[in-house]
Amino acid sequence: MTNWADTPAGMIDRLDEALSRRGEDAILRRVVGTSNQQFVDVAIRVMIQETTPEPMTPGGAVTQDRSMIILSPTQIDAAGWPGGVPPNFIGDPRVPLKGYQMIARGRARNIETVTAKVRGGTLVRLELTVAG
Amino acid sequence: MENAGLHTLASLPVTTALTASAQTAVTDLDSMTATTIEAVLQYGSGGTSIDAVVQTSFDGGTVWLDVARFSFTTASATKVANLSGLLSKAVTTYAALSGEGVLDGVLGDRLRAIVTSVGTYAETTLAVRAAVR
Repeated sequence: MTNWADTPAGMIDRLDEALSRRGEDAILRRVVGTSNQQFVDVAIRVMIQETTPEPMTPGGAVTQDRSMIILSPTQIDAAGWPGGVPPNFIGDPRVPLKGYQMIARGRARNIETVTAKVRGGTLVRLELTVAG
Repeated sequence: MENAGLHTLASLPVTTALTASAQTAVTDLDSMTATTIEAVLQYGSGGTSIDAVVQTSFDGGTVWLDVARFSFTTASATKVANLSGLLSKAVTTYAALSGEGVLDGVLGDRLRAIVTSVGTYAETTLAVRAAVR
């Protein structure tokens, strides 16, 4: 039964339902380190909106795909992702940072920007711009 | 068991010295009966030693008790330990773990990792994961 209430819980519920019907599976990855990397992954449901390919250099033939990805905090909360973080971690650790990765449709994409939608003090939606 | 499964207790790059850096706790582990813990150090260079202590609590996170301690120096290594909350255990005076080892048979409703390092490491990462049952 869809939660139509104009509350954060209702917003999350409606987003989860839409992702369940029209979304696809992906993995959100927190990348730790530079050369000796370790990862913290969570399986999530996302909606991917592909944009037009962009040339890597002006007029160049090599292109990079840029996409917008929408996800819900539900699976992130259920998994407790990203787990323990250092005490000097600034912000909400559930919100991905630039440099994290989204693995979707068979390839890893770098997260470029993150918009965290907060309503009534509750994280209700995440919108990411990814490249790759 | 509210939150059984795989949890990351710590995942961080190790650079300058850390003094008992407490990572955020994994909570909602009511009725936890056992946990297998893996600590993985991917070593780059430099540094002297790293200790990762896994702790549990019985009072909502005010007082924490050591249940496992993993020690590393200057080489990549993967270390594992298994803890059971179903052991029969005689009355024991608690003491913090002074070296690598475990305090078995003691599991509350939450876990966290404390990381201490000596020296300055480069290109080095530490991860501590717990499979909770």
